[in-house]
Amino acid sequence: MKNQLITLNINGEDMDLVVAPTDLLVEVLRKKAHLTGTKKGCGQGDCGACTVIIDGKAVLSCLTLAIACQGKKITTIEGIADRKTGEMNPIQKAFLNHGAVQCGYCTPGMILSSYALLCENPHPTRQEIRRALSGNLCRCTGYILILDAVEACAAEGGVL
Amino acid sequence: MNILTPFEYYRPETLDEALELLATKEDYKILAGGTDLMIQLKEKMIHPANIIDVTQIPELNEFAIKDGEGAVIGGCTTDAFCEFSKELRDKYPAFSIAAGEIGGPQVREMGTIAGNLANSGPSAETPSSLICYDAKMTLAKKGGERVVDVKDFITGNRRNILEEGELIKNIILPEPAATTHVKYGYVAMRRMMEIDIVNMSIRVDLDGDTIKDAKCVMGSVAIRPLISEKVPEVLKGTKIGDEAVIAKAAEAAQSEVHPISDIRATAEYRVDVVGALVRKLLREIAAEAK
Ligand SMILES: Cc1cc2nc3c(=O)[nH]c(=O)nc-3n(C[C@H](O)[C@H](O)[C@H](O)COP(=O)(O)OP(=O)(O)OC[C@H]3O[C@@H](n4cnc5c(N)ncnc54)[C@H](O)[C@@H]3O)c2cc1C
Ligand code: FES
Ligand code: FES
Repeated sequence: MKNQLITLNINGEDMDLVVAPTDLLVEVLRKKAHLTGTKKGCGQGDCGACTVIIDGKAVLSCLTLAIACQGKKITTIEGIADRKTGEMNPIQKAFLNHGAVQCGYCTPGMILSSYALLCENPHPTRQEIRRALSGNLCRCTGYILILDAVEACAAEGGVL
Repeated sequence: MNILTPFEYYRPETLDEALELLATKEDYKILAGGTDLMIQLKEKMIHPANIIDVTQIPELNEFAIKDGEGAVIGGCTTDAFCEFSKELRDKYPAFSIAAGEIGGPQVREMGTIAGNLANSGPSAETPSSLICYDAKMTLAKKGGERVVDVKDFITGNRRNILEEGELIKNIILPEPAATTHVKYGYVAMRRMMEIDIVNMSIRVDLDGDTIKDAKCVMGSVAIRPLISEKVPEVLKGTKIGDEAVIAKAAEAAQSEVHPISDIRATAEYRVDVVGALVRKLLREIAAEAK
């Protein structure tokens, strides 16, 4: 097994990275691309802390091989703020304004699952929000405030 | 940072290329969404020398559904696609609902229908409804394809009839008649992100309000999806919605299952749930048929 030079499109930028075929996307993002916003919790697909968006869909970077992401568009929590101004995305602001962040460990995943939902369904019902976030655990259990934040963001014009 | 045993990674772009790789590489595993396979790799349950990623193959991503002609679903169609496709939800609601009960949203965006079938876990969500819809699947290997019934595919816990060098190309769903009703149900610890204690699909074909034919397929009560022999016998020729018949059908199903006790439920509870699900699904069909 040899290391290989691959190109990954992360947050709109092509990055050349040396990876082994066995490298998981979550590790490559954190340790090789130095984007530590993506968190690793269970590593088993259960917690959603490692959620990133690939080609518009919220998926789990702990169950994804980095080498399998060539040619795809990866968005991490670092990639949803305004690229030029650095201004936060409305969904990030909504989380702050509603106190939806406690320790913050689940937050990048929660925000990206919410972001992917609002891109596809700009006016979700409370039930649809609950369902879309059912793969993200918050051990600080701040779920109600998180749902409030997503609802408010949708009502105030969405994420785009 | 490597916790996986080393392997070579291949991502064929065409079906021929993939079948050639499968025919020539020894000690390989096929990778689709990875939601089962990556966990098996991490847990060191398997140590393949080669990983063959089939997600880019056009034939495995096709989706065709036409009035009167059923549907063909490429093997790499995601669970989420089957959950959200309005066409599938309308024509094959029990299957679409079952696909929407796998894991959580991110797992469903990654996971595929072929992966769910090929993983062949006893509690897998989609086999029971696919069997009730009389679904078939196309298996391809270098030099030829064969079409098999989904009901014959899974042979045991994580065992199936896939041969060396073979992959699941697609799943074929025949057109259901307007008088065919299929319902899916399950019982689990929570509503989301769980593994089913029991899941079940029931199909009823009606002639007016008389049951012409029926099927009942249960998951998580045996090492493979269990197709009931007695439930159809009880139901055939009776009127849909007859509570005495429903009670008898539930007992018939209960007499056929020999589930195990595990971390999720005792065998005794599973038997209770089997009865409850038969009653629930038959009542739902009766309500729908009205
Ligand atoms: C947190 C979590 C929760 C889950 N919950 C559920 C659940 O509730 N119900 C449920 O049923 N499943 C559940 N799963 C399991 C899994 O998500 C599904 O079985 C999924 O549909 C598998 O598809 P995949 O594409 O990810 O398969 P992979 O992991 O890519 O592959 C699974 C197996 O199928 C083989 N395979 C894949 N594609 C093909 C093909 N085209 N031809 C031949 N072989 C192939 C692979 O070699 C492997 O052996 C869960 C998984 C996780 C991580
Ligand atoms: S770290 Fe990926 S789901 Fe928990
Ligand atoms: S804020 Fe602490 S885990 Fe959610």
